[in-house]
Amino acid sequence: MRRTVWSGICALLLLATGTSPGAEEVYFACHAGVTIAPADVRDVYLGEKQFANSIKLVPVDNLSMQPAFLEKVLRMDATKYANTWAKKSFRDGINPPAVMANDSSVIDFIRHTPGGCGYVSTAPDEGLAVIARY
Amino acid sequence: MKRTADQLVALQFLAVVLPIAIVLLGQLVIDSHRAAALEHSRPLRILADDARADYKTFTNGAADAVDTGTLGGQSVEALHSAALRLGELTRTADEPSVRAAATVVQRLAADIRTGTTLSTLLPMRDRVMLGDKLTRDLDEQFQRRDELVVKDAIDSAALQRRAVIVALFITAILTIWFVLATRRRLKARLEEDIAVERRRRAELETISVRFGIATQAARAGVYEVRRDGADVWWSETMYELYQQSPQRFQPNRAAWLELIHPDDRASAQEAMTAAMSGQRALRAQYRIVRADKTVCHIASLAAVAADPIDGGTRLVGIDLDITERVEAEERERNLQAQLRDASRQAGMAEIATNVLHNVGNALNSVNVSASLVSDSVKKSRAAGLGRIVDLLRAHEGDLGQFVSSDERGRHLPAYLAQLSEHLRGEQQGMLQEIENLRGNIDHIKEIVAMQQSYAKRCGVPERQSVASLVEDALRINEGSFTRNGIELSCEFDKVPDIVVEKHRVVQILINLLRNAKHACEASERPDPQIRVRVTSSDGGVQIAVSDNGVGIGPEHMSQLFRHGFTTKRDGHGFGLHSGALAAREMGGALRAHSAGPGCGATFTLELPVNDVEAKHVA
Repeated sequence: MRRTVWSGICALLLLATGTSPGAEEVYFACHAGVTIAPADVRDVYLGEKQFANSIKLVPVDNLSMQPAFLEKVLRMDATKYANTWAKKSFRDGINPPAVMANDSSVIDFIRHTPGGCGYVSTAPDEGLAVIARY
Repeated sequence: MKRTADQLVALQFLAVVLPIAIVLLGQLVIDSHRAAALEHSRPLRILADDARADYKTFTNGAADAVDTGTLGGQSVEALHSAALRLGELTRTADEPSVRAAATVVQRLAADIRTGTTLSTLLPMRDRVMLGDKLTRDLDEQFQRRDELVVKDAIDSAALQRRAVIVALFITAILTIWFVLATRRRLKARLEEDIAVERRRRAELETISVRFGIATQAARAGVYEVRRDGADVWWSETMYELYQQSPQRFQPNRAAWLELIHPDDRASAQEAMTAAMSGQRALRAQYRIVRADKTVCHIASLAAVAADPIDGGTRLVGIDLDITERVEAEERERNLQAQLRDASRQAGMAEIATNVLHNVGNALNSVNVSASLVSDSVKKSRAAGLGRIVDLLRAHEGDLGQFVSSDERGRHLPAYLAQLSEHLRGEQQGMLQEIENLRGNIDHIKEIVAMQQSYAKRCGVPERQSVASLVEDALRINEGSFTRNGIELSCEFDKVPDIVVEKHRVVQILINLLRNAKHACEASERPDPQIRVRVTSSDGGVQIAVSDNGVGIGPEHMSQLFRHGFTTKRDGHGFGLHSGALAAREMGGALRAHSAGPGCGATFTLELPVNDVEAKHVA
């Protein structure tokens, strides 16, 4: 699982060099009942905010959409994102978000995981809470 | 009362102390447990906290290594320090969580050295995070445990505070209750004691009044001697008794002794000293010389008692005026002496009477014999012999002619033969009477001799055979029995010897036998009988003299032994009286029985064996 995460991060680095993420829309959605302010999405993905109304948040990365999400939402590249999480994991002992391969995996995870949240390229079906669109 | 108050005070003390003591004891136990728990918990918490801090230093260093590319030496030292602390923690608290954390951190410490790069460090990120989690959990675990101990200590302290409050409350309640109960009880006791004290005081006053009246009536003086005679108290009656003025006379031992007759002073002083030193009752009698110089006899009775004030010895007693008693005793002694003299004279008279009585009885027989001889001489035909002599002198010349031819002469030989025969008969009769007379005179001589013999032995008891005593008495009366044709029969059982004054017993028996003879004579029976029987009785001997004479009327039975009573014309009324007295003095008795007039009588002399012997031997 963790190897998969690191492989995803490396792939994201490769994709970031070949594609331009600026034209894609990014939808941030959560499991039904989770309410997060759009301004808190960055803190959630940098490990600064881990709870929303006493619900443990479980963010996941979308391998296909990560460059766009990092650029639009976190305003950082993949390396810095990886370093940040490396320091975070050493310092605070918490793991970076898991990396899903595509939108469907992300949506499926969010739907079945209480507190789950993630970003996808298209607006998800009913049953998920769309927090923000970038 | 005092004991009850002490008990109440003790109960109050217990009521106050006991709850507090129990609470304090409980606190001591709880405190010791609390201290032990803290002593165990706090070092573990500090150790876990330090290990956690060291490990956190290491993880911060690792995070910095993301930027610097190399792990700093301080971080590595912190990791090793954490590993050491966890090892120490494992030795102190061997628990799975501690062992797991120590294992992870110690392995990391073994793999990580100074100068380790990020590339070496990143693959260990999971282990680093695991170590972080385990050390954090461990720190939190020991922190919670320590907090629990502290919380328990705080809770315990709060509980103790509540317990102290409750104990104080109980103590206060008990104290109030005891104080109220004690007050009520003491009040009741006090009232009861006051009532008892009032009763006692009233009784004491009554006793005092009675005692005062009694001492006044008895003319008894009361005294009390303290401190070996240095301090003496006298009652008013004591002053009156000694005729001293309470205002002028100050009683003390020396002054008191001065009032005692000089002849009795030493003995009185000695008795008082002995009583006080030996602490025994005083009983003394002495004379005092009163103010009017009269001598008064005093009986002093005292008891030694402990002084309730100073604990010393005091002599409390009374002096009684016994002058009248002493004088009465003196008069009584004189009277007794006079009585003894009178008794002695009466005894002498009684003995004389006795002797005269017995001699008189014998003289009766002498008189009878003498009368018979006199009558016989008066009626003698010896005068006829004188006439024959005159006749023969007148015919002295022709005596042959006269005897052969004269009418009177021829009857002379036959007359002489008849006269001779008659005179022989008279001679024999007179000889018989003279013999009787001689016998009676001998009897009198015997009586006198026996009386003299007994008089010599007077008052000396001797062991005697009962049969020999009876035989002596019978021998004296034997002649008269024969003369009066009385049939005498004796029956002696085997009886023990008795210790008696012989003459007294024999004299009683002589009188009884003589009375029996008189009773037989008075009855004029043709078959007079006297029976003497000796038998054993319960602890004694009985000698019974029975006759079949005139008997005794019931009206006379109660007076038989009275002095001077007699039914005989020539009696003195002395024999039975003296016999009964003598029998009683010897510890025995003399009894009479008769079925009535004409039925004879039985007189029984009872004499003890052992008692008499013991009495006389003593």
